[in-house]
Amino acid sequence: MWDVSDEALFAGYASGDAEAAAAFVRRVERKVYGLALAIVRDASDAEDVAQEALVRAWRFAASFDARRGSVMAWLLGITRNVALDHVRSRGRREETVGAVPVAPAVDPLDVGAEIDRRADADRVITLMHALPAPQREALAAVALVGLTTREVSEREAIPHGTVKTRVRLALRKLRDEMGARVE
Amino acid sequence: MTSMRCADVREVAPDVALGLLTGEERAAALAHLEGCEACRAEVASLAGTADEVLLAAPGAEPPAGFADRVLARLAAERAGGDELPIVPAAPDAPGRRSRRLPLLGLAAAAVVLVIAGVVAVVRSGDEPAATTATAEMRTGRGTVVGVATVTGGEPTTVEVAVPGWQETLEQWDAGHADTYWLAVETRDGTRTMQVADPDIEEWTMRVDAPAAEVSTVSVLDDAGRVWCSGRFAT
Repeated sequence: MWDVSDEALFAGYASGDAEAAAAFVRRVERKVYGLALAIVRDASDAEDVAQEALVRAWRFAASFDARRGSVMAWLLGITRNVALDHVRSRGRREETVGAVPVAPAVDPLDVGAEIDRRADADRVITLMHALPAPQREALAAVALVGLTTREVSEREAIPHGTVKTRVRLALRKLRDEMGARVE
Repeated sequence: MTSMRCADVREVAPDVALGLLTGEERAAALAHLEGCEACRAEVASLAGTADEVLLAAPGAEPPAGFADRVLARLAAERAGGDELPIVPAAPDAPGRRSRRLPLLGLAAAAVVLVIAGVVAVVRSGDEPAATTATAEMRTGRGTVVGVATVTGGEPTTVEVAVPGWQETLEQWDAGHADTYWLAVETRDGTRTMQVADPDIEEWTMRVDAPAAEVSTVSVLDDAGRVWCSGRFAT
């Protein structure tokens, strides 16, 4: 099943096809669990969050619109929302922004994935790593982990305006670079 | 509320895309976006990039048996029966990525939806110029919650009535969303949006297109969730 696109597998997942569902979950579990873990920082909680995200994705499969992005980005958006709800209910652990992870430029564990999907993720990861570290960390803290710029400012003892500027610059630069690559 | 110009909105567009704005600043930005297609496009573009950033999250090996547990939960959900909500593709909306807003609970999200059967298309015999069509407004479970009516004229108007809207908000979304929107799409894909006053249950919207060109009307919140929607026949 590894040569089947994420979208095709997801269609099978949504319709209840057992084989497709198993293949889909196994394909996405590292990413979904990884993001959940990055946000909630607890293995047991991360599993709860990841499970819930996958169940929600199944329930609301019809809301996926391929014109607006990949299944993986959509699923990770759900994962992030579930994780943030979880964090809000439990209270976020105080950690420095430097701890916010971005995948390594080369992820030796991410094997067996479908080529196009890897290309998408690799492109974003490469572009993220091309950003100046302060911008990358600020954007990751906000966009991946869901901190506010105010929270980043307080944790890092950086002026709030500086954090906002870094986030804005980073997102714009990333958007422009991604557009340039597509064209 | 201070009004914002394009330059102001462009400055904070990444913040809007990331759901970072709050309070008056957010309201002012959304109010500007309502009437500015170019700024909406800018925010949508940045929001798309913000979505892509999630792909940069590090992977991690889940505990052994994770996939089996997920599949078992899905099997249990399927066995549970008839609650499968049909959720629509949520249309683009300013601030659709308002991540500070908690997700609705599953049951509430099931209220979400699209698809609506057309009830009738009536041509008034007395006023041949005024084409009127109605469509049921339906939720994600297909429940009819209201009706939309498009009336030809100068200009074309779309009326949406959702009796019980107040109660619905109190039950499902009290305090979660700042702004609700009416979104009307025409057959060429153009979307017109206006803020839906949350204190009433019937809204009227002017549309710069012939009545026959109006294809769908939706009520959505500022996270882009479609609460109900109606589709007019071609």
